[in-house]
Amino acid sequence: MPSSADLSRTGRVRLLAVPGLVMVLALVLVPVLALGARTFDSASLFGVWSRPGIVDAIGFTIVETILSTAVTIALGLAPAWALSHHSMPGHRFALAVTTVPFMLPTVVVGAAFLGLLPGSVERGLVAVVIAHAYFNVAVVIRTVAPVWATIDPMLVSAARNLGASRTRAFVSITLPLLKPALYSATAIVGFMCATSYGVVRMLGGGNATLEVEVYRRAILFGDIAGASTLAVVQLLVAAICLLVWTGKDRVVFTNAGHRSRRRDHPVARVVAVIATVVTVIPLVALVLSSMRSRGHWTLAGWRLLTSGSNVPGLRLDLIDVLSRSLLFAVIAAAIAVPIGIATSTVSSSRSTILDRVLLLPLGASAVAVGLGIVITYDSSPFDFRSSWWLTPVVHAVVALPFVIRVIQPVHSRIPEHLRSAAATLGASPLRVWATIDVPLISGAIRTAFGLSLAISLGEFGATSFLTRNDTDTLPIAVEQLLGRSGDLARLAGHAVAVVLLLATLIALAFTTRSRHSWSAS
Amino acid sequence: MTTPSCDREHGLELDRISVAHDGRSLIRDLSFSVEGGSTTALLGPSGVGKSSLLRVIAGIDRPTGGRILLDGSDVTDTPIHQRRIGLVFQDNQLFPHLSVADNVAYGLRNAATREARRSWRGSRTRERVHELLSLVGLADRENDPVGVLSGGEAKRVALARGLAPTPKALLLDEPLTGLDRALHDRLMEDLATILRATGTTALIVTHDETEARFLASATVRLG
Repeated sequence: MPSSADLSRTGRVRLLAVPGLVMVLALVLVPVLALGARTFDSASLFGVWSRPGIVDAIGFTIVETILSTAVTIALGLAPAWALSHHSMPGHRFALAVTTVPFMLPTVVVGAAFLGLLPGSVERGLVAVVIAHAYFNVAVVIRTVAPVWATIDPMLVSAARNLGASRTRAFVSITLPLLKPALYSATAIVGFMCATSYGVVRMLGGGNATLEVEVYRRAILFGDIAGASTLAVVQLLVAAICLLVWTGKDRVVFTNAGHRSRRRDHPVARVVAVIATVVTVIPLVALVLSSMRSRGHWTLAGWRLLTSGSNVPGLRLDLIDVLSRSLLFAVIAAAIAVPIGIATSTVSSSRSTILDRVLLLPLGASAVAVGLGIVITYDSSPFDFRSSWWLTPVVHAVVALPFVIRVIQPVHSRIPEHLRSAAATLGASPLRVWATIDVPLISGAIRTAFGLSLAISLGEFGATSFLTRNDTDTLPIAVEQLLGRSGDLARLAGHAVAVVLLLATLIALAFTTRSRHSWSAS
Repeated sequence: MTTPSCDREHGLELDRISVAHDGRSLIRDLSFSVEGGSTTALLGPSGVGKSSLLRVIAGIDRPTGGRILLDGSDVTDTPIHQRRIGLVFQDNQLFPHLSVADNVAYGLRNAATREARRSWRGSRTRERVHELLSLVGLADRENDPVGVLSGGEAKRVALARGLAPTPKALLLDEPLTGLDRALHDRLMEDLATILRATGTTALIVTHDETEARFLASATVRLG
């Protein structure tokens, strides 16, 4: 039976979750509920569907989601198989490189494909599907490869020994064992494609997903009621999809002991090399397209960014935007990481409801959150719309679930007897936390910090509702420049995207360096 | 009871076979034969290449030299799924997503010809599966998932699965390893009975002399 001192301490520990809860409630739940209330109050709840563009947006969202998901899964299976071979030379490098696109800002991926694809397909359904596949193949690899690696190759040999052809062995043995992982990958990729915003803004041409339509209704047409209705409907559909997915049997047959038995395979090496090269090509194309116009090399775009321009609409101070983006990223990380550490301390030991509330920003669309904040905090004393700090704080909320997901599993695996041993040696609870917990999760903290920086640097959905001209971030600048006509704007847009790419890669370097840190198993 | 499935005239023959694993030569120029319908035990200490040799005979790995003859035909280059040499794995390798019956039926559904596949459809497959599971004493476990089986039961299912497609020869990789003494002795007697009853040409890997003498009419020593 717990003593009163234990209960008192438990109560104090629970207080650590309060800052995270307040942030999520204030900047996600309340704005989303406000959107719902706006929809409920609106006479256009049913009338909105007949407005021009909405049916098209629904149709495009469905078509691009189905196509993008199918193409992504199909393209992801081969590298997932190749990278499940842990004994392959360069395995970790190939895995790291092929994972990078998923961590990149959507506008960087959009800009890269604008630079890579021929003019006839650079905007429209084909471009969106290709970019989504590029962006999300990492999900298939990261979800399927670990499961594939644990399927004992001897099972396939057993099937072949019983007369099965290669195809039949794959269909009757490997595929059923991969099914739970494939379900998960399909659900995640489908969700990402259905709620895609940045890629479609950049590459959609005249097409819009529901997310983009929410933005267009709210910002371009001033149709807040219509935008709110769409955002709420999309949130509901997304919530239902996620509930269905989480209700599915996701038991996976795995046996980590079989990993070492998977042998190197020449075809796997070839597939891994191809996947790595294909991942790098768009990024190289992005760099080249910032310096190439009409068949000639030029640094006009870079000069425009560094020395300024008098061309109307092309006044952009790169140093100003870059330093602001970096400042926002550091602030977001400085908020998200301590709150994530505090929350992980609580949620690793109890309360799944707390976990679910804190993961809300993952499920809520960033566009809905951005729109919700704009319409919620619009009157004194809570009129924060023009406050510069709102953007990094929202970035912190967006990053928080990822921070928790990185830190919590590592924290929860710290053996309790280590803390007991420290306590028996005279360490106070605070000293136990500082000398045992923190050093053991330091690698996860570095990873979480890098991830927060990268998320903030690339955040585009909510930011596009929150920034003003004097608070633009790098993604906003990329989208604005590439949305204009003219070679100079295009060159400058690609140049800013290159800067954003480099900044993101540097931030992500934090996450790879911490691989060598402690992780209990 | 199942009728004898092998050709007693020829059986399995290894002709100057060489085996390597991870670039290391394990077996060089080994020759021996297993008479049709008989059981031979392959004895030797750990690491000498017994399991690697079975993998080569089954067609999972390729030999670095020599020939494998089955009923007088050279099957060295025959693909694994067309070789008709069954293998009962040391760790069983039961398909975890299939039931006991579906594991045993798996090989029947892979019959090489369309006619054979047709003949193994429906009730005939069910009868054959039931016959084999009765043979190994698991007739009442047909619909169980393999994950709930004990070690001994899993080995019996693996044996039934190996016998189901009536292979011309059956390789057993330490089929009695990891069982407690009582179960080991009971299963050893059952295995001897089953192999005799089915007239299967069998090659059993073991490091236990008693087991080898009990199950086999001949022995081959490695190392």
